[in-house]
Amino acid sequence: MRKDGFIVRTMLIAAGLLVATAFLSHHLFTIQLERHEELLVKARAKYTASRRSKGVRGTICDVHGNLLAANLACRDVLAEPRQLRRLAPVELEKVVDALCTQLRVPKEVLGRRLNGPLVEIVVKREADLGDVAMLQQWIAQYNAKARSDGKPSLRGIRFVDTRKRFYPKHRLAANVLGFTDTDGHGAAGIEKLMEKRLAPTEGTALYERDRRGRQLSNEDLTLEQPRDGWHVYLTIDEPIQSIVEEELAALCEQHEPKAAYAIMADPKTGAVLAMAQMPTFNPNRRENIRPEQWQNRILTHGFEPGSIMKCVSVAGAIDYQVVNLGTVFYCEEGIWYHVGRPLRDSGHSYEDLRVWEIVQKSSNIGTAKIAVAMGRQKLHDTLRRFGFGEPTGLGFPGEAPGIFRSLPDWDGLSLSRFAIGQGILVTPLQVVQAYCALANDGIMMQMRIIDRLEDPETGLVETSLPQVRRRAVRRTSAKQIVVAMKAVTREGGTATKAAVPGYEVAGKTGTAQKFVGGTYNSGRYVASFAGFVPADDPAFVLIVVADEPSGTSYYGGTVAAPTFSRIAERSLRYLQVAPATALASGVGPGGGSGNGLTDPVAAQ
Amino acid sequence: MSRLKRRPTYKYERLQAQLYGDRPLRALRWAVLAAGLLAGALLYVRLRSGTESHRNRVVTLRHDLAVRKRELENLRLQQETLTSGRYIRASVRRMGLNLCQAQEGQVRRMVVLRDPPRRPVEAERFVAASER
Repeated sequence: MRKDGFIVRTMLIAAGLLVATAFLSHHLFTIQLERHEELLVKARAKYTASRRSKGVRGTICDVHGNLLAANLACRDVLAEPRQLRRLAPVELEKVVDALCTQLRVPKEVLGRRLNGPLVEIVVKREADLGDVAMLQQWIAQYNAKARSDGKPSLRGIRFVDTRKRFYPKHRLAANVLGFTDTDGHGAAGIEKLMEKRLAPTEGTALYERDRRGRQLSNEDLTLEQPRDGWHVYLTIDEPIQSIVEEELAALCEQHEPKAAYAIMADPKTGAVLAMAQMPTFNPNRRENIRPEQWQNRILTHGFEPGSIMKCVSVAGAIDYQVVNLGTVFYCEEGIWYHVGRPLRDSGHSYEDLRVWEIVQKSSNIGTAKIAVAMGRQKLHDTLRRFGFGEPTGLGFPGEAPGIFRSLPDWDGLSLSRFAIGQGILVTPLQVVQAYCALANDGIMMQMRIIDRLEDPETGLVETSLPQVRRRAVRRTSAKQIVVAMKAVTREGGTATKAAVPGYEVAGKTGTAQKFVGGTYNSGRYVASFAGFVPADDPAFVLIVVADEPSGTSYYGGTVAAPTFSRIAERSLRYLQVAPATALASGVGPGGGSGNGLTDPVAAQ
Repeated sequence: MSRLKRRPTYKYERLQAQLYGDRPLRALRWAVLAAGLLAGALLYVRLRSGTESHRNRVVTLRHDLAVRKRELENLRLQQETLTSGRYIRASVRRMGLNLCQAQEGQVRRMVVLRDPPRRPVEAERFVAASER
């Protein structure tokens, strides 16, 4: 009987265990197999977290790799007001004081943020690493003291690694480079133009964490790798840019114009070597900049070019074989009535002038007569071929095409006025493009400012090759106008101050009255000089423009030409362009005395 | 018959003796096993703590490395600023050092990566075609 009871109990327990085992097995089967996927997702959500990381924005360098824009490592400082409010009022005051002092944040701003409804506030964005290190040291000392005094330690302050755009050369090429907005996207200049290439991509990494959210293992499971932005190399040459900006600043100091611009380009490749404007700005300190400072007005600001347009008009006339350098025009002794309106040679009364003398002395009447001989269609086609009325295609968004009326809209005066640079609006870059064509045997190259792009991960380089845009004039015509332009900077010309000792300079001055309120204002001028050097094998084309120079001097030959000369001299030395020894010894183009009165036609 | 069925007692005694003789040995075995397990556990704890401390050190070093790397990047940027020609010229002016720029021929710069400026092949072809 005892034996039977034992067996029954044993059987009952065994049955119970069996049922329990069966139940557990079923449960295990359910959670391990049937609901595996669902529960795995839930479990992963509990013990894994994802971290999004961003690559680094690409750098911008000059043609030789000198850094112009890069990224400065810094940290965002964040705080949880709820955690800070746990401190005693006196202690909280101390902490707020420390935050404000170390991070240079106004106390009232931080106080307002701390009392706001947000769970986490930004104490300072993009704080300097040194400042943050000092703050961390202060927090460590505070916590050590709090522990020893038995007070609650300081919690709720978080540091997030980040980067901000930094321009190591500060103001250098600021208008070209532009800047980024607070989200790190390009807002102006090259930063905006090359945004797609410069911008980094975001990546995602999964990691396991403990109950408190701390990472458990060292290795992340990377789902998507962040990619750094491409490096952009400009055609800008930093030393030349620096020279141009220094000399432009000197011009502004001396003549106090409203604005001043200078562009240098290689006529053989169309590469922009320097592009500067005044006023400019420091992209690292953008708190108080005004729109006229950061806008690249070289691309957007149209001006009436005045006499610098004469070379283009005359080159067209030579190209159409309407005139040659020796053709003589009577210049009406200073005043000529055309279509019932007077046209003057300001301050001069020339009689017979040959075409090269018209260019040398910048005769309005002579040039207008050449244009009349040429005809509307030919002048229109010439100016179009030189790129006026259309953007240069440099690539910048918002590049102005200037104002150049189509032929049916021309009135009776257009022919004589457009030829001397009145009534049309051009950008400084368009003028450089046209002069590049004259300097490059009549071939207009596509202007470009991006030299190459480099992928930092693969090392892949995309190079922008020089491209021919079109032929503006024939080679022989270009050569002839260069001869006339050389005379401009010699004795008897309008821009003797543009001459560079040891080199032949070909160029043209411009002094244009500004068209304000429906009339040409005699007190407001745009003084300019555009040219290239050495004249026969140019290293560069350069234009200097001063918008409304103040004081008595407002001529292109006295305001812009000296700056051209200084920039050219320093740049030629930097580029190691050998001087023309024959000219250095004072021999003129015709091998004569070099007094400027030598006839270049005979010399040719 | 009864004599034959009787079991010899010495066998039982011998068995007893063997039983008692084995007990210290088994205890020793257990002790060794326990000690081994203890040592194993201690070794495991020791190794694990070593691994953990190494891991912590790696994490700290990684963090330090990241910080130094970022500081180095910033220093390189600072170097770019300080070595730029404009900064040097401004400093020379500010400090009144009366230094002047090199004259023509005093400095020979070697351009390694860039060809001297020349008209591209495409342009040459264009020129040739347009002049034919």
